[in-house]
Amino acid sequence: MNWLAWRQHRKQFMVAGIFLALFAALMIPTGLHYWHTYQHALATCGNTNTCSQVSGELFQGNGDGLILHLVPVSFLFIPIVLGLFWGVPLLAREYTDGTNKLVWTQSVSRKRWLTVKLIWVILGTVIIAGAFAALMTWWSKTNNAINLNRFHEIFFNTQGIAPVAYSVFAVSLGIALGAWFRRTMVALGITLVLLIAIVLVVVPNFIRPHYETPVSYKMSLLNNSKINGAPTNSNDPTTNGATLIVSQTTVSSQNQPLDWANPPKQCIVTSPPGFGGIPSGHSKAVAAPTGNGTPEAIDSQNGGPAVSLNCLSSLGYQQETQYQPSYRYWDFQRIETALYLILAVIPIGATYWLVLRRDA
Amino acid sequence: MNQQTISKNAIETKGLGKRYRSFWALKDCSINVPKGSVSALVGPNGAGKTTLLKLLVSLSRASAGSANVLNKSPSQSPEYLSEIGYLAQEIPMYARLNAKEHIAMGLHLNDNWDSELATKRLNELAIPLDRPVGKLSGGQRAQVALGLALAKKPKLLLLDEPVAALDPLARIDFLKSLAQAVTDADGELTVVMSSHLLADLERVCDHIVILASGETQLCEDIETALKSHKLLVGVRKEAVDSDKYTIIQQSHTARETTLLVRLNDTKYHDSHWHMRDVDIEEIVLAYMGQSREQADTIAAKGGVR
Amino acid sequence: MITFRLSTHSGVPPYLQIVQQVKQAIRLGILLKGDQLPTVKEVVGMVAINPNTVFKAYRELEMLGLVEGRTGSGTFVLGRPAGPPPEIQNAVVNSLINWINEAKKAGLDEESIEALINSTLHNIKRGNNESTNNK
Repeated sequence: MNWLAWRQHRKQFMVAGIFLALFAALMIPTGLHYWHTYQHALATCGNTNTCSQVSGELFQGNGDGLILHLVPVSFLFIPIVLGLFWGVPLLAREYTDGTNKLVWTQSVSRKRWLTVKLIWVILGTVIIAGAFAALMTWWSKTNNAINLNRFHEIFFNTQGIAPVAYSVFAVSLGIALGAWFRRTMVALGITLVLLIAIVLVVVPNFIRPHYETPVSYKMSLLNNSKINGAPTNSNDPTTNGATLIVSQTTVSSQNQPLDWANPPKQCIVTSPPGFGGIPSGHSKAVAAPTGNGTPEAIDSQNGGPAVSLNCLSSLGYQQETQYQPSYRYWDFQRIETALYLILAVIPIGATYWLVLRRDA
Repeated sequence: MNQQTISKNAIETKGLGKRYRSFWALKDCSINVPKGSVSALVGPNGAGKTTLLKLLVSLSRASAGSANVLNKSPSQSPEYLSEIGYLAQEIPMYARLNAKEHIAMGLHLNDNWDSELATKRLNELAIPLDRPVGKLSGGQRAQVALGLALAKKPKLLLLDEPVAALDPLARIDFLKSLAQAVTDADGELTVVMSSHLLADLERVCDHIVILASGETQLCEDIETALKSHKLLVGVRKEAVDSDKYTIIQQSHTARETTLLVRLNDTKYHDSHWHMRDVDIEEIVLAYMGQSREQADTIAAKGGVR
Repeated sequence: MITFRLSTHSGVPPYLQIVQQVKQAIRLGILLKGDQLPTVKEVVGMVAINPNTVFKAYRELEMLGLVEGRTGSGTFVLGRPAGPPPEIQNAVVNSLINWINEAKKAGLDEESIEALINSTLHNIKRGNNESTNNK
């Protein structure tokens, strides 16, 4: 059975290997270049006293900026591509070509046939996805150091160990759906939609932020660099991309969230001074000079009235940010890996059921 | 407990049935196929031929009844499958693998595999062994598939319309290969082959199973069937089954009645009827026609029994 | 070596076709005494036929005393089928030609003549069968 599995699937392993080599050919030189440039900048910035600007200034050129984003974005889709091109056809092809009837009538139980096939393909998936993830993790070290953004979806999803688990899950899901529909095209479509929904939308946005109880950080509504250009506070998680922001709310001193649709009456700005208020549809805070020249921040959210932040602040309202700190990064990688590996059990179990119990 | 030890039949089924939701693809199928026979499985499309063969090779599970194949119940176990060669209707093979690789595959997937036999057989037929089977002609593919099925050294060979898609020459070649394999096996190989080509079946087969409307209509030696079925022609009269014969099909003109009957007593003689021999094609068509009449009657009555 | 041909629409059972073809070959001198008949496998490969049919035909030929099966080596021709020598056969053929000419004069076409011969042969055979059955 090993012979057949290898003979059937060696081509796809080779193709994946070629892609890996192509990416490596692009990424190893650029990765080295970025790292050396960064190290050089760090070593020389002391002379000109510009070390605080190194992060902001490096690799902002068109070419580098493009590569630094395009490569990780393309890596986002590796698990999906594996699910579509390795997972779906694995059994769907056998069903559509009728070759399942050929192998299932040799002297090999379907269970063994399926087990060997799964082992080969999942092992191949782990190796290929692992190699890609390792390459990406190594290549990203400059970017991680400069931009402190590896908790961002694009980077979290493409580095560390989680991408391997995504790939295993994606391939398992593809296999199961291929076996279920017995037709490659239908299974491809549904697998694609499900994988994008699960791996790129639902888990990163709605599940990942809640793996652990988030840490809370409160600050003045006015002490906000985004509103009034206040100096960046290194404790402020909203300016520290290495963290994962779970939520941002305005809360009272009793920790009651502010109802923006119905804010304290005394803080409502009926006719905003200065620039004439917040353009309709805007919910972002806008700074406007008051009559006597000191800037006043106003904001409006959820279709509520414009509210003076100075006023809210004086009533004791603060901005609360719930976030996952950067030191939890590897915890989260491990949790997400475990989650996907457990999720993968469902399609694999379903595949066994479909192959062993259902008529050919 | 069944006392019988080793059956003289390669296949015995009792009330075998397969239901897909509310539709019975095969119903109450009870047949015996003697060891060493080459049995023709005939019937109209949708009669359950493919379903029966799939049940026998354990590609499907029965919904009712039982089957005893080579003294075993159908299962997915290697022990069961190793004695059965099966050729599915569309002759599936891995299009990108060549015949040599298919033979190698068989070697890896079977304990009792004869690569040499398969190679020799295909060489004799001048089939290119290193061309992907997807690029072979239909006839060559069928020969490769037959070679693979035979390389298993099976005791039972189940062929689902193997010649349906072949041109006449390829068809005869296939049947020759099959007949030679049967000769080589010297009575140790039982074959069940479904087909619509009655003339082919008549020359290669010595046993016949007629399925229609998902039920068994006839399961018999061809020789016996030819002896026991007669055409009775006589002056018109309403005829009914008697203890002497069972009417399979009757037709009337203004003056004449024609019956195709199965005699319960081969010595039957009645001066009312002029008796004539029938060939296997007439028998098959009569049974198929009968089942159609029954189906029509059932439909007219508005229900299923 | 004899080459068999099989017609599936003649109405004659395949085994009987083989018997007839062997008889014919011996009668015509294509097969001589001591000649070996093709093996069952060879016949099967020639005409795509169930081997049991060939066995049956060869058994029938043995029973007729035309061939002899020797274990391990094959089936061999023993001699001419029972029947009149060629001279007498020729005489019969001549009288048949005369009869056919007469029938044509009487206005029968070839098809009718054939049907007449067949049905007469059939009736005679049936008469014989019934008389044996009634014994």
